[in-house]
Amino acid sequence: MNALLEQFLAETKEALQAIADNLLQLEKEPANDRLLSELFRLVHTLKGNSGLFDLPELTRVLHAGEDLLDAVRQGQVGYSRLLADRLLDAADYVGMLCDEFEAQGRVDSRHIETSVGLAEALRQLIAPAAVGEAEPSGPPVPRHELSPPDLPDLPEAAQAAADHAARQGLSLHWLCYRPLEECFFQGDDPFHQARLTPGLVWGGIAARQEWPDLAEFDPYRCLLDFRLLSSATLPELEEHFRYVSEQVKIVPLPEEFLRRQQTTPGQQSLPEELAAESSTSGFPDNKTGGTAPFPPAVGDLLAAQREILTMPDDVPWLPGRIKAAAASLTGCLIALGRQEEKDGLETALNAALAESSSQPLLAWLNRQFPLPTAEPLPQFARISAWSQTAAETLSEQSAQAPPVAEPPHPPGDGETKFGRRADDVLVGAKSIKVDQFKIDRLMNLIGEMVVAKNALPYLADRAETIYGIRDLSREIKAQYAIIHRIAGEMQDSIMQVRMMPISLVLQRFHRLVRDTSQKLGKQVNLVLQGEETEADKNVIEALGDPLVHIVRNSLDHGIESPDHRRSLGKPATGTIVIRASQESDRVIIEISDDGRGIDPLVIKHKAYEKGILNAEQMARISDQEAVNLVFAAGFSTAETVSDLSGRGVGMDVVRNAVEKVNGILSLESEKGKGTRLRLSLPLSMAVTNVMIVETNRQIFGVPMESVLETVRVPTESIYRIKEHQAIVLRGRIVPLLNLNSLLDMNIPPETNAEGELAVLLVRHAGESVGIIVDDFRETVEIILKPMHSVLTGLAAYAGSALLGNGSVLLVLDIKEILSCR
Amino acid sequence: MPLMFKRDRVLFTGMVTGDDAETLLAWLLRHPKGKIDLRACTHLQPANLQVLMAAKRPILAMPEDQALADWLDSALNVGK
Repeated sequence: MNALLEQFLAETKEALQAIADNLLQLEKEPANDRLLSELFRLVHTLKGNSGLFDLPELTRVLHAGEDLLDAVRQGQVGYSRLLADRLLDAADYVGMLCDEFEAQGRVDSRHIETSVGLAEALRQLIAPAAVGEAEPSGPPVPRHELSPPDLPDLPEAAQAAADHAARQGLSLHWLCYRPLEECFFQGDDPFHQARLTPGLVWGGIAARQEWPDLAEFDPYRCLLDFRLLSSATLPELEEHFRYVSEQVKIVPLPEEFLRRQQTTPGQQSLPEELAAESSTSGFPDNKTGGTAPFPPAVGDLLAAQREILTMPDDVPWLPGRIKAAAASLTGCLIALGRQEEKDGLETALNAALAESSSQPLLAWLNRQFPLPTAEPLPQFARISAWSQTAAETLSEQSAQAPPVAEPPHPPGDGETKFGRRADDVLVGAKSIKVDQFKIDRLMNLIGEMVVAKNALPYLADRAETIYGIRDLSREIKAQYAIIHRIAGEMQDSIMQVRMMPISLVLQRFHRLVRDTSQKLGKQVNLVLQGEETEADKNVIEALGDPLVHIVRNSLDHGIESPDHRRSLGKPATGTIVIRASQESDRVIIEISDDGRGIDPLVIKHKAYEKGILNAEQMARISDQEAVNLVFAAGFSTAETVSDLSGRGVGMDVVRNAVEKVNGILSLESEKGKGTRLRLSLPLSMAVTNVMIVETNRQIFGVPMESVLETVRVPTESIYRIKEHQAIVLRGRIVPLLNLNSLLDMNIPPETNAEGELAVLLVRHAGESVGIIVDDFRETVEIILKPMHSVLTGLAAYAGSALLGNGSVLLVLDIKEILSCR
Repeated sequence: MPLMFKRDRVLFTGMVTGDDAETLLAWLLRHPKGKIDLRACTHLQPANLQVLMAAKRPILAMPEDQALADWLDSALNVGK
């Protein structure tokens, strides 16, 4: 990915977040011009930037959004909830496209439709009046005219090509491409675009309107319509015209139509239809009028056949052309009731086919239907009549959005493309964007540095004990102290770089709460506190999903409907508070609501029904313990499975996610008053404190957050309950496990000189468990590296770390070890 | 130069660009009887095409490029 694109994607994400924030802010104070201008500026910048890349779908939506916001800014359109909804949808869509673009380097053409739909929805808001005006003018365009033209309407060459393609089993699409009038100024060449259409079978060009006098003619106003037949598939065509998809109508040409054309040429209804159409489309009938005793449409048709037959014969599809002309003529004869002349026509047709020349048929035509005095070109008139109607359907759409032609730019902004750059200068002077990868690398390097540094004391010892150079040893130690201080500071600064304000995750909750509460018909006020609290990026990122889950739960299960709340004497609007704060080296996040709370009785019964508790446990369990059962796997209290929550993957998922980053989750709830969830997370995950324990002459690390205390227990005070061991510690029974056997080493634990066993008390699933080891060592700060490649399968270890003396310390995953037992 | 102006005709050669449309229009206005020769034309920017369609001048030769000729067929025959 090139740097420009990277920058663009990063900026877009930021801008989208800012757009969403501004929109929500605007909802509270719709009259705030500053917010509106900011919003416009953001969308405008995004649109401008998106033009640099191959992202027409994105540009289209942004452009529509920009126009809409401009209209709002000018006071033509009022701010409304609908408007906000549509803009938010558009923002989501843009975000989605960016993600896809980032992941795949391209955007699938299937998005075109959505983008056109979104852009239209936005534009509709600008000028609903214009839509209304467009319709009454002129005769209403019947819907069916969107369907492909009858084949006889196609020029003969197109027909032949279509027949040919159909015979090869290709399915055809009919396209009508109406470029914008000012497209030449944008450097477009619609003709070139049309010529490059994939699977092109036939193409034609027609004028949209009568050409003015040459002297007043403006050649740079595009008034051409391109009409094409293509054998390419719809996605291919959409892909090809993706930049101008709103200017192109694509309709499949029904196969049966081609077949009908081949089997029963010249339908009865055709002349009437043509006659009817030629009068409604406003073409003067006097083109053929008076020269023949038959309807003008038949006259048109005959003239068209004459035109076809006078074309040069040197084309490969000549037989098809002759047959088609003959078929049309047969149709005319039938329509005129002159069936008796069909034989003559057939003879002429056979002669024409035999000679590979149109002449015999033309001669027959001239004999039976003498040439009218003024030669009209009805065929092309018909085509342009059709294109007129097809084009009207196009303009009907564009009428909804007249500003397409001239995107309104604010004065002074539209004058120079660089205007927006002036806005950008304000941003980013004090901060630089750095790839996270680079910071991670720094982090790793400082980790190695700390390890390397820790080797110096060992070296000093060796200098003294082995080589007996005391002075050197002292000097090494002095140097070590300096390096130690610098390394410590470096580590600190790098940690600071990785620190991010918690507002990064909390921002999105305004939107979530707004949308969700709207969907649920609840009124909820979200209060964020302590957003500026900082934590390590990884911790912040890991927080996102659990928090969403918790807030959704609060919205869905916690907050009652406004009516219900009123009847309880609570304010109709519920409140959810997310409060972040820092407590020594941990971040605390509390999510509280003033909803219905959790009823411990309901939970107990549910847990019993789901087999999480047995009857005995149910009777014994305290209310607080019952409430915490919502974290048990497979527990969901929702009565109905809703879109939002209650799919049975409730709070246990949250708990797992929080525990993954060494967080602790606790829940308090009072029935009828509300619920409060408390998440406690480490500030940083980069440095881990572990206690080193020794067993069977090996050392292992145990994360300090799971260590409760260390005790020495005389062997005789260990109770045996069947095959389990336990001790009584301060009046509580604590189960004992042997680390050797947990790690599959069949060696009994060693005691110290006094015959005592070393027991490490750890926290597991809310209970204390004693683990017997051989000895305790010191606690160290390590940089924990996860297990790599083949070792990843070893679930018993959380990772490994290098110690100062160069040896490797394996850090135990206590939770995993105990649950695998 | 993609447009070559002779006494009574204009010859199109190769790719005729958008800028040429202005020149073409000016020439056609000055030569009300000027004719068009598209024989050597391979592509023309549609502004030129519009000029040709509006001017309705006799076409002496369609492009040798058959694909282009097929396209222009429908556009230029109207004025014949």
